[in-house]
Amino acid sequence: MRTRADLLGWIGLAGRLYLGFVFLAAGLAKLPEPAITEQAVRGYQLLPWQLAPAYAIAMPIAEIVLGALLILGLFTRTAAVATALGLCSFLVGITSAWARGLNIDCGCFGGGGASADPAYLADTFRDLGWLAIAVYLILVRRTKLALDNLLFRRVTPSEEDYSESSKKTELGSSA
Amino acid sequence: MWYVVGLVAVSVAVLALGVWFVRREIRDEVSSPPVLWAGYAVVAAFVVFGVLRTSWVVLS
Repeated sequence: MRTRADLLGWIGLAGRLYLGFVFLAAGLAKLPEPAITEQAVRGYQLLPWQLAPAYAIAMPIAEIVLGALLILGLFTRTAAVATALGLCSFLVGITSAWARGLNIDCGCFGGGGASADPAYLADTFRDLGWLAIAVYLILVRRTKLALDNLLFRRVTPSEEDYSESSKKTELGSSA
Repeated sequence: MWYVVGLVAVSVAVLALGVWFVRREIRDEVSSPPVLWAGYAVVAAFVVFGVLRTSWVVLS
């Protein structure tokens, strides 16, 4: 029997897989090219100059880890919070570059740096869409086919009732 | 200037929604209150730092 929670869970699974593969693809695209990613990070002129190399290495690794966690459904809500924070930082980076009149490519899937034709509006709406998915994953408590469901199984009231009644039955039968 | 005003307004709204979310999770006994408030503090610190840094860069 299909319930509302089931439906929300299946939608959550779809969101998890989509967002997970997006982050995995973004991380894998940037990981082999730290110098280009560093150039992209410096293009935003937001972080201190010395932090750019470390950020250019840490960000793809974080994206790959978060992507894997979302796909597996492991620590889903924590991963979704981290993903939402990451997307918020990307949104702030893109919109602040736009507000300051910089002409850069977002470098979200590799590349980056100066660009004659920046796509700030499209990048902003795309990231807002992904942020909406991350927020959904934070709000919905369970998604389907997630490792969380196996590892952190919660005892529902009905199960408690069942175990209590079964205890009574056992006591009754033994008496 | 208007960008910073908007950024601060959105951030305050996000932090307020975060308080609502944490209180909902505590009410429904999803996790223990210290863990939830500690998580909220980490997120809030990240948001506040991000807003301060971005505001500084945009205004300077």
